[in-house]
Amino acid sequence: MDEKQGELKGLQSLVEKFAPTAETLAKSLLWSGEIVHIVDRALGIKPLPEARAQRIETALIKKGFEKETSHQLAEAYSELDLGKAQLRDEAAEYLSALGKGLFRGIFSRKGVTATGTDFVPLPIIPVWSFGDLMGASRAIYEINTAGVKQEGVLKLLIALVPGIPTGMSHMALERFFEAIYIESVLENK
Amino acid sequence: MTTKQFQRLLNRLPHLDGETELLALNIFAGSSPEKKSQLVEFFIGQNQKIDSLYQKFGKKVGEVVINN
Repeated sequence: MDEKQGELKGLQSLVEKFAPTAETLAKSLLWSGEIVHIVDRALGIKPLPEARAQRIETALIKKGFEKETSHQLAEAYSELDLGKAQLRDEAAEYLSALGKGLFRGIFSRKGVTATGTDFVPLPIIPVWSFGDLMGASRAIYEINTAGVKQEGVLKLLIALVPGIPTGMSHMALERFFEAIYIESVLENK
Repeated sequence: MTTKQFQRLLNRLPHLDGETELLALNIFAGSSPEKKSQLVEFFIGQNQKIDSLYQKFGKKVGEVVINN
C-alpha cells in the first residue's frame, strides 16, 4: 500500500470512527474551531481569521487528514467564521443604534458645551442594582481609557438599558453623560 | 412575542455572544410593542442568514470529503 492510500485509509477510518456522514465531520470541525476560539478567549488574544484557519488546518493535519483536505476544510470553516462575525457585527450595530435611541428619549441636553453638566436627566425610576452601577462604571472607565470604544459602549448599554441612573455620585453621573456625548461626537465625525 | 420567546429565538443564534444577547434582551424588555416586533423581525432575518451559512458550510465540507 503506498503512502497516499495509507492516508486515504486513515481519513476513511477517521470518518468511520466518528460517523459515516459529512455532517458529523462538519460538526467535529466546528468543534475544533470552537476549541481554538475558547483558547484564544482564555488567553485574551484576537487572531486574524487567516491565522485561525491556519491553526485549524494544522490541527486537522495532526488528526490525520491530508494537507489539501485540511486546507479546504479550514477554508470552509473560515468562511463560516467570517459570516458569523459579520452577522455579529450587524446585530451589535443594530442594537447599539436602538439603545442610543432609548437613551435619547431618557435624557435631553440643555447646553452646547462638551461637559456632562450640559445634560439634564429627565424624571427617573430607581431600577438600578449595585451590579448595574459597577458594570456601568467599568464600561465608562473603558470608554474613557479609549481604544475599546465599541466594546465599552456595548457594555455600557448592557449595564444601563433599560435602567436609568439613580444614586450615582455627581461625578459618576457627569462622566456617564460625558461618555455618551463623546460617543456621539465620535460617531458624527 | 414574550420576552421568554424572544430569548429562545436569541438562543438559536450561535454567532451572538453573551453580552450581545443580554443587550438585545434588555432593549426588548424596554421597548414598545412596535419596536419589539421590529427586533423580532431583525433576529428572524439573522436566523435565516445563519441557517444558510451553515447549509453552505455543510455542503462544502461534504464536497471536500467526497472529492478527497
